[in-house]
Amino acid sequence: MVKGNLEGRTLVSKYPLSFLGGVDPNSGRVIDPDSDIKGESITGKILIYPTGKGSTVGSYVIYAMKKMGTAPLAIVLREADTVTIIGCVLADIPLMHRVKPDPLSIGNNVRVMLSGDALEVLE
Amino acid sequence: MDGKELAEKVLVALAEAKDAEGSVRIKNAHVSGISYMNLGDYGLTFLEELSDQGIKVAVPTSSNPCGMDRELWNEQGVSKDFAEKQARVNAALEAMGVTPTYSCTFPYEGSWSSSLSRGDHVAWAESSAVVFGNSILGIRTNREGGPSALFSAITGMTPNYGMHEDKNREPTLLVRVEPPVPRGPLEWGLLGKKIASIGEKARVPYIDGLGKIATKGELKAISAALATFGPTDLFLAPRLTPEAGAKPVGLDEIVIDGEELEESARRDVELAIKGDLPKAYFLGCPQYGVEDLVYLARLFLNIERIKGEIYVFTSAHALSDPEAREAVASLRAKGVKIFKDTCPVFSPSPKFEKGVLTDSVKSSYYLPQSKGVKPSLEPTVVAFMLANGELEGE
Repeated sequence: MVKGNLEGRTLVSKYPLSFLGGVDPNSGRVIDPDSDIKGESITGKILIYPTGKGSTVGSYVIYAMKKMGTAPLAIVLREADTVTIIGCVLADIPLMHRVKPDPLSIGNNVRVMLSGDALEVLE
Repeated sequence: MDGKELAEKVLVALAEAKDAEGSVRIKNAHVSGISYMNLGDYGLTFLEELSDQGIKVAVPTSSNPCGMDRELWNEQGVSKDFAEKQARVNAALEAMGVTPTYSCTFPYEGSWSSSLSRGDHVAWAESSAVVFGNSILGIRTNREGGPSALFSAITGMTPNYGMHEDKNREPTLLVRVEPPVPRGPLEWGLLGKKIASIGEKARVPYIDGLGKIATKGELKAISAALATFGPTDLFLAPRLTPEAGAKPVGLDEIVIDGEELEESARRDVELAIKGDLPKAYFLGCPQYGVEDLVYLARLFLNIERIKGEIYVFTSAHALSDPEAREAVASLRAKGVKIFKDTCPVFSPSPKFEKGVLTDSVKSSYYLPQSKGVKPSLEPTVVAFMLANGELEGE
């Protein structure tokens, strides 16, 4: 949806993520108490989660994070949602969804490559 | 950034994600997510950057409630700091050509609604208005978010999927209400919640048993509840909605007991009389219209000065009606607090720290999230009992 060719390391959550209230834009860390990646920094990561949730203001938070330098490198979702799509377009952050294999099955801190519509595990 | 180009990119990406059949031209748009309480500095900065570029909306665009009554914010208890930030949000939107309606009901109650015809495409980002518009007016809109509606307003287009396509406006479930639903916004809200809670199957419910007529308040309540608690963006009801054809056959069917709805609406009235409930009542979610204000003024006719606290939230377009203004003057003289442009869910004040009563099923979902207060659902008559000093205790 937002195309990009790049390489990076994964951070995977099994739960839907809200950027408003779920992430601290200043530190880049996840603060959602129910998240399985609470406390982790999403900055510079290939962030993988099922789909977005919560307030549509989340789009503006993604945009703000890009400006502050705390944004993820790219986002890969099982199914893209409006909040994340708009945020990624505004911030020009590469965004993919419906890729094979299921992105949630890729572990944490794995080196992957995004090119066009494909996601490749490098190790 | 180039705002116009971004807006187009957003629409292309959304259309791609939703497998839309291209885009359709919209007649108007309604933007939400404009309270500074939700936007914070991130949203404010973004909107100011967009408006600083001289971007303008391409179609008539109305705005959802903001975080305060623009005239009475001080009386409402909103801080000066918040008021200044909210004024900047509003200024950014208005500079882009957004009409300052600050109302959740304007899309279907305000002056533009008469120029809409069945089948017209719009992009509205207020879920209760989405259900009311699709169902009662027969217009076509998906449940947009604040940003998606804003970008649609800038381009004048919206991705063609979901509610914009005929195939998604067919009934998916038959709901029979027997005996028919009792009168009142609380009762209709409870019915909406019950139907919405069925989930995906209730995407387009065909509801039999709503009767031939309904008050605007009842229609607003059921629309708001359906949108709040489930996936419904359109309901069909014979004689009430233009797209309801003959009763569908071959669909899954559920029966809802109208008497049970009545009982659950009255369940807490006794508790209220015992004095165990809060002494504040909030009306106007969705915002009160002319009819609601006139009704309340009549209900309170013989009360000289109200007991307890009664809060009413309404809109500038309702107050443009002389009858509504007369009702508001009479209610204010009795001590009823009435605000426009905003609603308790989007505003830092009132806080309802000692709890609150309401007839709005929608706000029973949103107030705990925004204020940490769970309101007690009570029929409108309890507002009268409170005002009339019939509720004992502290």
